[in-house]
Amino acid sequence: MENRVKHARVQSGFTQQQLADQIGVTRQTISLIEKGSYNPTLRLCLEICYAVNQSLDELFWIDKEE
Amino acid sequence: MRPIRDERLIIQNLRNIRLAFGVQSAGIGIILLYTLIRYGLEEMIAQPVWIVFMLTAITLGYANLKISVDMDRPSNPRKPGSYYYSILMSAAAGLIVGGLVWFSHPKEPLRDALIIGGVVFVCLLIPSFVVSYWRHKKAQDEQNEE
Repeated sequence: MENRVKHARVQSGFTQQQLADQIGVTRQTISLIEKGSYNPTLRLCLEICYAVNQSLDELFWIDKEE
Repeated sequence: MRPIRDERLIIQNLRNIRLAFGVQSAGIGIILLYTLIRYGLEEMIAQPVWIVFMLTAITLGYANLKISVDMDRPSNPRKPGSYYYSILMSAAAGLIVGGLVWFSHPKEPLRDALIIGGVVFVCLLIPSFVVSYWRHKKAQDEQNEE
């Protein structure tokens, strides 16, 4: 699923590995989330939001397709 | 080996276990089928893998009862069936099966019919009690949420 995690991570000055270490997952998981190949649980979404200081809405919200 | 904390890897691990379970079940199935064809039913049932196969099937069946209860949508979810109904239905099934055995083998002692009827009663009573328990719990949860 499309998201803005990569943009937020770069803005916060994290590498994928640093973000992964902070929230307790592997770098590959962060990479897959950024590519939209893996849909994280709500808990992991929140962990990412806390780490990059952004809201769930800013990172993961997408408008419903018509 | 460190414990897995990454949710993606936990899911991947569960998928791998499912795959291994499928392979193992297929292997057991092939062994049992081979024994059945080559040596007959008696030999197949006497094999230890038959017990493993049956125990696995029973465990999976019991574990899936909760899923069945969550999936079904009864007409009145607030009033799940009574526990007495489970006992009554299991007893009726046990009596019918026991009676059929008694009538179809009149020369065999009554004890055999009683044992078979008793086994059917117990085998139906336990799962129906488990289902009733989950239904009661589900009804209670739904009432608490409202």
